[in-house]
Amino acid sequence: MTRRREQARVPRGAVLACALAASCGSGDPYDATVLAAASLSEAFTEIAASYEGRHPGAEVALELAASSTLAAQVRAGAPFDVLATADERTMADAWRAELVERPEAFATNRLVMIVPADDPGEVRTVEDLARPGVDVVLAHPGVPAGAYARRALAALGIGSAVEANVVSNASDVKVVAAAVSLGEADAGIVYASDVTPALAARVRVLPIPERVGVRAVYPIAAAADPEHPRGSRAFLDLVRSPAGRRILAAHGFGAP
Amino acid sequence: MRTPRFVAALAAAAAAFFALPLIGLVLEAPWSSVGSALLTRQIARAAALSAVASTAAVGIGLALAFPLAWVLARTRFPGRRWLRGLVVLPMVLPPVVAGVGLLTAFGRRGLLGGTLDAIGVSIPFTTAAVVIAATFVSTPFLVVTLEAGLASLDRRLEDAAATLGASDARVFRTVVLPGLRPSLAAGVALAWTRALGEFGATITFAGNLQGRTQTTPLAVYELLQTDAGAAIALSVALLAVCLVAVVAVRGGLFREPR
Repeated sequence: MTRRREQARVPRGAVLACALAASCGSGDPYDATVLAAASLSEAFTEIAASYEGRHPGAEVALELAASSTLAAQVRAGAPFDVLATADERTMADAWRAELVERPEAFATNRLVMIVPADDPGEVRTVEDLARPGVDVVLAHPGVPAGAYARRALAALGIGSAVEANVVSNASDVKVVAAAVSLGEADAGIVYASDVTPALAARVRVLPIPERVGVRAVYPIAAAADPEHPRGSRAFLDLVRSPAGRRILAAHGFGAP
Repeated sequence: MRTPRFVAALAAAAAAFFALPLIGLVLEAPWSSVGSALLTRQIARAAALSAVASTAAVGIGLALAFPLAWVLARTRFPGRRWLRGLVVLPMVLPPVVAGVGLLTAFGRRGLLGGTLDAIGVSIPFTTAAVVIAATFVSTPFLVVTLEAGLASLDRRLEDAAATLGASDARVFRTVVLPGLRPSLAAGVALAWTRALGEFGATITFAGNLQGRTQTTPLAVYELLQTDAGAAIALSVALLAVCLVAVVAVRGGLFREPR
């Protein structure tokens, strides 16, 4: 009952979105609405530019937010073509709800610790995060980056000590990077791929020991009911192509 | 001029635009489990923090707004328009911009960061930051209503009281303050509800931590991603509180001075 009503709502929402965007009438079949995890921001922005170069006239609408935020939007009936999340659980939920086609892993990522360049909290190792008085910012536990970070800290046996130092549960991993790069927090845990040249200029990157073994796996899937079926297929193909993989690798992502 | 029928129809459509989101919230709320959805530790802490922070923001806001409103309403000086623009700017500023601005002013690396650090104070990610963010966005409502109230007072009453030998303090207490009561009540209600609803500046400047900086709107945003039913239930509760505040102002407190 709820389900049918929600599905009935989608086309109306799409019509309204079209009316507001005023671009649907002249839309290109290769347009694509792509929802991607915040940590994919730079890589997917570049892939989208490459896509638009291959399909002249087509436009990629890219929405970048925490995977859990994107999943909530998809559940609420937001129109989209491709969903890429930073963890398999969020994607599995969307798949079970029959909102996406069968997902496929396309990239991996690892965690690093960042501290402001002048290191006000004197954080040298991951164990220092547990020292009282160190202001730590993590992504919210409901966000993949926050869940991975907590899994790593728990594996190191400092989960609750660090939790006591957490001053903010950021809404997505990019907010963690911002808090540290502005010097407002003493340390944060982000993905290796988040350390862009701009961020690297403002922070120091410290490793999280390999033995923790936290490896983020990124799945991607086409919408079950895509707005632009051709665009959906073509964008997915590009992400999984050698060209797409090259862009992902250049931004610090590993192969699945 | 009589009201043309199409104007009434357009007004009805406009009213529907405002009513539909509220109706949607009420219809979608999980009424059967609304009690258990709202009676969680997270929501209790968020509600308590919101109530305290909004009230503190209005208290501080009154101390800031009274002198500003007085100067704006009763004195003439170059740059008065600019001062008024500056003071009401937070009403129209995107709240996230307000949050970034607060970081650049009161953050650890902000303009006052070094000074604050010297006395051992760090504001971002603290409850104090929640109050500062709420004060920043809500005080303009107090300034605007108090300035309008001061401007509408009949100055002759004050002059008469003074002529009869009343001191400034007595004139303020017995003539000005009673005359200001309606605008004061309206300003307090508007500022308090604005502070209660503050989101963007708060999450930017104060972060999001249960029990310390997670206010009710931040809890709604977080719950929306994990438990949409609880998020809607909490939204309805916030809606009810705001409705009571607005209706109280229009109905009881905001009576026109006789």
